Amino acid sequence: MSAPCVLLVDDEPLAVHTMARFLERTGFRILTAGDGVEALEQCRRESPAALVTDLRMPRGGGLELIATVRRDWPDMPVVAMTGFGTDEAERAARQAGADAVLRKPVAIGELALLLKNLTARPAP
Amino acid sequence: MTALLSLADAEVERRQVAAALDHVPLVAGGLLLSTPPVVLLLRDAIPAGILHVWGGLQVAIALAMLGAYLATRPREGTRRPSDSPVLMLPLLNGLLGLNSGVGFAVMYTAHRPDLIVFMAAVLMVMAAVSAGIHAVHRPANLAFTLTALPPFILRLLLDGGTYQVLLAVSVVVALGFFLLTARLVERRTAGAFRLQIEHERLLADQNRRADALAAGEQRMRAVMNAVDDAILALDAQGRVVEQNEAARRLAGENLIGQPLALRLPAAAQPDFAPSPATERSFMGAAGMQPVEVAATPIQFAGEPGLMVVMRDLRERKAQQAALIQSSKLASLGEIATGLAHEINQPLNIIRMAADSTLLLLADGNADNEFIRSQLGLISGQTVRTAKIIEHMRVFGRKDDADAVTFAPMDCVQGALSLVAQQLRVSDIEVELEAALDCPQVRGWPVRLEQVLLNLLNNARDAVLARPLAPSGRLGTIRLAIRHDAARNEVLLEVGDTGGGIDPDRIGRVFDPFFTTKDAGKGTGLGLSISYAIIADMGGRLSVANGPDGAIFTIALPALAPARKTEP
Repeated sequence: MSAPCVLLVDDEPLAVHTMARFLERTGFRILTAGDGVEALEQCRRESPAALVTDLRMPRGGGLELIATVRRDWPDMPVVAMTGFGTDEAERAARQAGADAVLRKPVAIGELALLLKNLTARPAP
Repeated sequence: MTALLSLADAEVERRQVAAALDHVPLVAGGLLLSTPPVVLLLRDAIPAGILHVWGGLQVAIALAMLGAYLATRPREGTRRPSDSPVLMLPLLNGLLGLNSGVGFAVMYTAHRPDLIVFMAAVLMVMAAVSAGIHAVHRPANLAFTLTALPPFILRLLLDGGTYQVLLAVSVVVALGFFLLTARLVERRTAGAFRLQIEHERLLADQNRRADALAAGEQRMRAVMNAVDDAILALDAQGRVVEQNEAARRLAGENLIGQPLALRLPAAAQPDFAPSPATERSFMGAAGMQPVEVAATPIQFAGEPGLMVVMRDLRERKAQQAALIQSSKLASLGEIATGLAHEINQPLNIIRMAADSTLLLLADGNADNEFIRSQLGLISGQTVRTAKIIEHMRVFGRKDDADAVTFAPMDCVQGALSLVAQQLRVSDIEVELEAALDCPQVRGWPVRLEQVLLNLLNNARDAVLARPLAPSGRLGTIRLAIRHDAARNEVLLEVGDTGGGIDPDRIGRVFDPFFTTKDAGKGTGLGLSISYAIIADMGGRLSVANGPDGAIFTIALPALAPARKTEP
């Protein structure tokens, strides 16, 4: 279990690509998905150590994905990203069960640090 | 005419027979009562055998008459003419006459003048009764009179004495008198029957006409009540004289007798009628409300009047309001939020790419190839950001160029020429339906071409996004340009076979940043910008789902029809 597996979900392929490129170089194994449905399939198949998801996406938005993950994998850390930059969006993500919410544009160093902490957390 | 007359004559005769039959109990009763005394009076002079046979026959004929009467007696007050046997009564009367006249002639006793006078008296009384009672039916009367008296007269004449001849002459005179009287009575009753028949016919005609009128009225009323619009008829003073159910519903009460102007103030204006459908205010059951009113002068049996048709506009207004609400452009706040979200996407990528490069550089973990690709990524995203901002500016910007008058067909051809090649290789068919007499419009042709291009691209994307049809051909884009003369608008339609837009979302397609396309495929700005461009030209851009896919319609105010502007 040397490289924690992180699932990145965003409907912007270039955003996913940029994040993956960096996180892979900083010690994570990366899975990607373009929408909520695809993300849940990945969760079932790969059981990632953490989930990073955008909020506005086709086929099951981010909030729905977070709520489902919270229900089926209660221990999986979830980081939400939102492009709306409003308190309402942040509150909604937290209510759905996100452990952390990052506003776009995201500081990627911060995200990497966050993921490191969240995945290092000992399982209860 | 002859046929009609003979029909009426047949009916008269049936009634005569019926009336004659009605008197049968009287005749038969008289016969039954008078026969025994006659037999008693004659019993000394005539052999018992002959007398009893004669009396028995008289009684039998009387009973037969009663039987005929009972068999055809009136049921429920009226004797049906068809029940009246025309020949029955003359036949029985003939038998009675023969039995009486021949009987007396046979039983004639030359040595008893008193009995001869008695017999003559009996016959004449019977003939008198027949003339009185059966005169209404001549054959019945004649059948008795002509069979009863002649045999007896013959017997008197055969007897030959002066006394007998005188008696015969008096019987003949009486016979003539009876026949004459009966003839007069018969004529009068026939006349009465004719009048009666005519009267009944007139009554029946009148009833039939009244029934037809009532049925017609009911039909008209049913038709009027089936109409959703309120229909009113006003007299010359403007008072309501007719209304349908819709009018009653609209007003909430019966309007008959009320001056319409009390509820429809416009009705008091001198130019109220004739007027085409015009929106006006009406005091309805729920207060003042909008109605569409058309008034037409009409004539009621020579009197001038008005027909007023009112349509309740409340529902239509509510629908229009809902439509405007659902398809209106997003408010400024929504645009700002959408814009922020949209710009944050490339900004996010730019920042993450820049940050990750910086962090990896600091760790000595970034080679030139990595840095180059990250910078390329960043550059591309700044272009994307600029494009979003460029799109946005179209909203606020008023075109500097002056509006010009142009033929919209030129724009259609311009836009088509740009995409035709691409559509052909994509195996998408283009159908163009252009009206020849399409008027010109006013605005900015280049921008209209942009809108058409945008709609054509959307149509193409919709067709391409659809799974391949079994026919092999990917789909069809239909372009139509027509003139709606009623609204004096030029309509440009772009329809596709892409399956249409989800009805829940069709009201939002003109919202900025709304897109039905896959992520990254569209900015969601094309339609909102197109909408703004068309609105700038004084037109409307609308969308509906056709049988195969979405149909976008551009409606632009038409200038005078092209034909008329030509010298």
